[in-house]
Amino acid sequence: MRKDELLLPQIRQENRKQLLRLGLAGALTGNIMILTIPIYAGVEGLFKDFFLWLHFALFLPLIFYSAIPFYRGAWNSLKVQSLSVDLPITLALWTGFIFSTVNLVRGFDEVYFDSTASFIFLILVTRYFVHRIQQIANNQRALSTFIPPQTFQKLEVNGSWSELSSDKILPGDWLLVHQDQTIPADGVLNSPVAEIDASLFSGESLPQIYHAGTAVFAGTKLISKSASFQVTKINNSTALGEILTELAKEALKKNTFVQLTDRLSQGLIAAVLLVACGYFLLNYQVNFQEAFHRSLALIIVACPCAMAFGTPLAFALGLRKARSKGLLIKNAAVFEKMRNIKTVFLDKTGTVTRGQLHLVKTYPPEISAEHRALILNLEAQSQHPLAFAFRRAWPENHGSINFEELKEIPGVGMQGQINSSLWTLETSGGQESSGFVGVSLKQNNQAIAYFYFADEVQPESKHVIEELQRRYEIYLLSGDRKSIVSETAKVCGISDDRFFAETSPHLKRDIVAAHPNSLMVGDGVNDILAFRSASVSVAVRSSQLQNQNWAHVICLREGINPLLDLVNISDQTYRTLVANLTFAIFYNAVAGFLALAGFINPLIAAILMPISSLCILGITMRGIR
Amino acid sequence: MEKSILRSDHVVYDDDIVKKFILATLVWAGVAFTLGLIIALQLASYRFNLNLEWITFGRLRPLHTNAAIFAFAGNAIFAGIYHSTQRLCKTRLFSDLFSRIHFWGWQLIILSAALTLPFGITAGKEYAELEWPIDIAITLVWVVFAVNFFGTLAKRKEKHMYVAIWFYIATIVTVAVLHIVNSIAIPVSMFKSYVVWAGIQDALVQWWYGHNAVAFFLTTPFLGLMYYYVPKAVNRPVYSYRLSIVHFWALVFYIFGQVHIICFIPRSQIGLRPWG
Amino acid sequence: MSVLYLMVPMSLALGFGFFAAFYWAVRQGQFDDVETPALRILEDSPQERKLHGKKHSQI
Repeated sequence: MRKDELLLPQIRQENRKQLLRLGLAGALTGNIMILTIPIYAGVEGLFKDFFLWLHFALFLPLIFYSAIPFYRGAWNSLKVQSLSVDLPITLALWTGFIFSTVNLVRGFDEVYFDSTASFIFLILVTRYFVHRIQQIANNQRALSTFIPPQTFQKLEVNGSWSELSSDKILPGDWLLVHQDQTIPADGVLNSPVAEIDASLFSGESLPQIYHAGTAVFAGTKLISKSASFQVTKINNSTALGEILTELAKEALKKNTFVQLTDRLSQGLIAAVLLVACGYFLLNYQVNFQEAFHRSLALIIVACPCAMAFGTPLAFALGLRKARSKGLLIKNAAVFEKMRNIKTVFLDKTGTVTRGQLHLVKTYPPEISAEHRALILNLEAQSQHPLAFAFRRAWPENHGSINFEELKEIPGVGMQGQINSSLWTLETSGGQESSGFVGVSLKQNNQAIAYFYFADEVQPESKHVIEELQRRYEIYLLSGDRKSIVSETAKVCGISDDRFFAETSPHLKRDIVAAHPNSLMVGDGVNDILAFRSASVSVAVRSSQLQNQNWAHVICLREGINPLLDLVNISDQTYRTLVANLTFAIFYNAVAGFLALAGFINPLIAAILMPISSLCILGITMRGIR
Repeated sequence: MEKSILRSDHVVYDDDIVKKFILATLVWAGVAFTLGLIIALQLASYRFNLNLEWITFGRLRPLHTNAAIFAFAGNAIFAGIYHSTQRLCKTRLFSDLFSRIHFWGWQLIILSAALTLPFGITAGKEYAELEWPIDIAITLVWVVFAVNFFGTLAKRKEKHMYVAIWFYIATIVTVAVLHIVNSIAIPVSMFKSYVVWAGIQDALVQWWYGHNAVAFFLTTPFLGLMYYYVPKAVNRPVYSYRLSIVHFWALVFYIFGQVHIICFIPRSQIGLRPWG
Repeated sequence: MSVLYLMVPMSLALGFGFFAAFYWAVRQGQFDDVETPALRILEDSPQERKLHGKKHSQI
C-alpha cells in the first residue's frame, strides 16, 4: 500500500485543486513579472500597450481562479461575523486589480499587476506548504504501518494450502496465521482457541483469549502457535481501517479556534481603511486625482504579508521541526494554545511509567539458578509479555533444558514435564487491583515460588517533570490505588497535593475541566474523556488508536520527553510570530507614509513588496531553525 | 516503499540502439574536437588554413559547432534518453524500426553537414547553418524520435513519470518548435533558400532560437539525464524529489519563451549580434 | 521589431501548452506521491540483476 493511499478521495481532490491553483499562479506570476521589465525599461507606444494588456490578460485567471480560496475564507469568516486575514488579502487584491485596470484603460501609469500577482503567489505557496505538513501529521498512520507485508497460508477449495501475500487477501479466504504474525484482516476465528495481543485496541498489556467463532481484528498479533480464521473484512473496511479513516476525516474539519493572526488582521484592516479614508477625505478637495491614487496606493502596499504568509510559514516550519523531533501536531493552533497553558496533567500508567511489566518482587526473595533456568526454558518460545519480563529480569544464559513434554495452556501459562515432575508457570489472571501481576511456579501442582510484576517509572520522566514544574503546575492522574500512585508521585518529584488516585475516566475529565488552560498527556482508553476537556491533549507513543484520534499531538518517541520539545518549539514559533509582526508594523508604517506622501508608484511597489516578503521569509526561517 | 507489481522479467530493453548512439557520440566527439583544434590554431595564425577555401575559419567554425552540439551532444542525448526512458517506463522502446531510422537518419544529417558547410553552402544563421533540404531531414527525423519517445510513454508500465521524463518531453517539444519557426525559408535552388524573416525580425527570431537551443538542447536533456544517472551512480535518491519537480516546472513555465532576451529589444539594443 | 507580436504570444502559447500538461499530470495523480519515486528508480529489474551479477554497478 502506498503512503498516500489512506488519503480520502476528497482530501486527494482538494490537494490536487490546490496544486493546480498554485501552479497556475506561479506560471502566470513569473511571466507577468518578466513581461513587466520592458515597461520599467521605458518602452513606449504600441509595444507598451501590448505588454500592459498582456499583463491584464494573464492576471485574469489569477484573480478569478487561483485566488478563490481567499474569497471563500473571507466569506466564511464574514458569515460568522469575524474578520479573518483573508479579508485584507481580498481587499488588497481587488483594489490592485480594479485600480490597475482602470488606469490601463485610461492610459495612466499606475498599473500594479505584477506586485499583486506576486503577492497572491507567495501566500498560496506558504499556505500550500502548511496544508501539506498538517496533512502529513494527520495521515501519518497509514494502514501499512500497522499491517506489514507478510505471507500467509490460504486454504484452497480443493483442500490444499497455498501461499498468499497480505495484499491479495479477499473476504471469504481461510487463512492460517503463525505465531508472531500480525493478523492482516478482520475475520472469525476457526481454531478452538488462540491467544492474541490486542493492545492496539484494548490497551491491555496482557494478551487475550479468543475462542472459535469470536471476531479477530486486523492489526492484532498472534501469540499462540498458530490459528486459522476466515476473513470477513479487508483494508479500509476493517475496524482498524475505519478508525484510520476517521482520523483522516478529522483533518477535514475546520478549526474553530480563532487564531491570533485573524484577530490581528481585524486591527490591520481597520487601521488601513481608517487612514486611507481619512487621508482621502482630508485632501480630495485639494487634488482629487492625487488623493485618490495615494489612498489606493496605501491600501495596495499595506501588506498583510506578516500575517498572510509569515504566520503560516512559521507554523509550517514549526510543525516540520516538531515532526523531526518525533511530535506529530495535527494543527498549528496548538502553538498558540501552548502560550496559555498553566497546568499539565499526566496520566500514570504507560505515560509516566513504561507500561511494561518488570519483575519487582519474588517469593522467596532469592530464586535459585535451577528454577530460573526452568522458567526461562518454559517460556523460551513464548511471545507473551510476561516471558519478555522474565527474560529482562534474568538476561544471562541459563542453559537449555529439554522437556519431555512442553505445552502452552492458553490464558494460564506454560507447562513442562521432566522425569517425574510437572512444572507449571501460571498467571493469576489479569491485572490485580494491587497493581501487580502475579505469577506462580508450581511443581506437581504445588506452588513453590511467586513472582510479582509491576510497571516501572521511565527514567527520563523525573527530569522532564522537574523541567516542566518550573513553568507549569504538574498533576498526576491515575486509576490505580492510592499507595501505588503515591509511590510514583514521590519518585517523580510530584508533591502530595498534586496527585489524584483511583480516578475513573469521568472523574479525570472533571478534574481537567476544572482547570482551564490545561495540557493533558495520556495513553489509555480512560484518558479520552479528559482529552476532550483539555486545551491541548498529547498522546504518548504507546497509545491506542482511539487516543490518537482525539489527541492534538501524537508522540513518536518513547516517554514524555517530547513534551519539552513541544514547549520549546511553541516558544520559538511564538517568538518568530512576534518578530514578524514587529517588522510588519514597521514596514507598514514606512510604506504607508511613502504612499501618502505620493512616493509609491508601480516600480517602487514592485520593489518594496518583494523586499518585505523576503524579510518576513528571512525572519521566519531564521526564527525556527 | 512499494515494489511495483509487474512482470519485469518479461521486459527486454533495447540496449543495442544505446550502444550505437554511444559509439556515434565517441566518433563525432573526435571529429568535433579535431575541428575545434584546427580553428583554434587558425585563430592564432591564419596560415593554418593552408590557403584552402574548404578549411578556412569561416567555413570550419560552423562545422565544429554543429558537430559539437548536434553530432556529439546530440548522440549522447539520444543514447541517454533511450537507455533511461526504457528503464523509467519499465518497457521496451515503442518501435525498434523507428529507433534505427532515428539513428541512421541523424548520422546522415551530420554527414550532409560535413558535405555542405565546407563548401560554403550555408544559411548563415548561428547553430542553424544547414540549408533547407537538411532542415527538412532534421524535422522528419525529429518527428520519428518524438513518435518513438511518446509511444514508449504511452505503453509504459510505471504510471508515475519520473522528473527526467518531463525534461525529455520539454526538450522534444521545444526543439521542434524552435527549429521549425527559425528555419522557415523559401528555397530558390537545391542548396539556397531565404528565410522568411528579415533584418531585425530575423535577428530576434534567430536569437530566440539560439538561446533556447542551448537551453533546450544542451541543458534540459542533460538535466533529465543528471536526475537519473547521478542517483543511480551513487545509489542514493535525489536529495529532494519535490525540489526537482519544482525545478522542472519553474524552468518550463518561465525561461521558456526566452521572453527576457526579447524584453531588452525595445531599448534598441542590437548587442545581440552573433559572435565570431 | 514587429515580430514580437508573434514571438511573445507564441512563447506564451508554449507556456500554456505546458500548463495544460501540468493540469493533466495533476489530474492523473502524478504529484500525489513525491517521495517514493526517487527511491524506486534505484531498484534493479530482475533482468539487470541477472545480467550484472552481484558486484556490478547499478547502471
